[in-house]
Amino acid sequence: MIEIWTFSTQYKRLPKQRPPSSRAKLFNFSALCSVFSLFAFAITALAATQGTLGTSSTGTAEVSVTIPEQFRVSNLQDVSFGTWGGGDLTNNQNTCVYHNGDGSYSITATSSTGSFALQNGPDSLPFEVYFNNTPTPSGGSALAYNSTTSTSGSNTTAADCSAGGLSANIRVRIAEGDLQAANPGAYNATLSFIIQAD
Amino acid sequence: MKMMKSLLALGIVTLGASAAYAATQGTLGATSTGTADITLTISEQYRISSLQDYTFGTYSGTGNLTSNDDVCVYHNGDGLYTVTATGSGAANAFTVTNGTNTIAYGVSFNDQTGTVGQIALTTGNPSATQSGANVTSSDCSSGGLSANLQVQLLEAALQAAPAGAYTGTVTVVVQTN
Repeated sequence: MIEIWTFSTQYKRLPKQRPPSSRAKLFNFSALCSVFSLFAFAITALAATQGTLGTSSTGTAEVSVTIPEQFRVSNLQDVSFGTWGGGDLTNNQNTCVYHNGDGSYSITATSSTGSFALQNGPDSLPFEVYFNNTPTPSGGSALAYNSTTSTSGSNTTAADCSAGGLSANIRVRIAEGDLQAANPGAYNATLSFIIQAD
Repeated sequence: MKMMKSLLALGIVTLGASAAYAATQGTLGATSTGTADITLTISEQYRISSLQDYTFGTYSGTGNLTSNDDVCVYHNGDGLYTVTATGSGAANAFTVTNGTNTIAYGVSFNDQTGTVGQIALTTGNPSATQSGANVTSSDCSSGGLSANLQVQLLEAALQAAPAGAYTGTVTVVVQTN
């Protein structure tokens, strides 16, 4: 028997950092000084001006905001194949991948089981993951496990794709041959997708 | 003869002015009283101050960005005025830019501190008459701040913007209603 297995989303993962060497510390101090210099410049550059007393009075205020690179994957649904009754099992779902700006990104898929395989105790059942950078079930390419694939065409308008629409498709397939070769039982895994800078 | 008439007319005018604003000299006596007139004209005066920059920092990726600033609007007398705001974008639009892209923002004004009762401003258009300016001191050091200026960037505009550092200037003019 094949039962429920779930997707989970994950934002950009930061690499582990080593403790800084003394040279690195010196560099960091220098960099810190530069940051302070820039900060001082920013304070000088951005300054409200106050009106003077007169028949009319004019004041100004600076408005500033920094927009960082932003990524989001959402609209993922759990894949519940239920009880297998023969043939391949395929699930398609259109998802939302958002990135402000140029819409380019990379995708990396991993599984809680360490490979693209469902698990039932000691038994495993392989599956395939396909990704399409448009919200259509056809096309797309197979993702290699824990391998980064660069692509483009994300939604660049709304982080939840409420404007601009869904932007990608994920397809999961379990081949009939593998299903026939599997021991009876409830199999599951959590599939994770990381969307980040390409 | 003609010049004489002109000089005579000038003399009459000067005499009239002297009569209106003229010190009187005391006469000799047991007491003596003199007077001196004091005149002063106070014109309509306006001032906006206590403005602060709207520094939103780095956008988290969700939600609107809103910043309110209580400001000082001073006008002697009745405390009535109009306010006009303009942006630094094309055609004075309320926009910030990173040099390539722009993000629109909204500006609201309230003729009291806080945001309750605020009105939205459109660039370059004077507001309806506002009231309640500080009428006591031009820097509001007495009587307190008297208005509020709000800047807001909407989530939809922020999420649609490419990464970058965006800046702009909002200019506010306070003048007669």
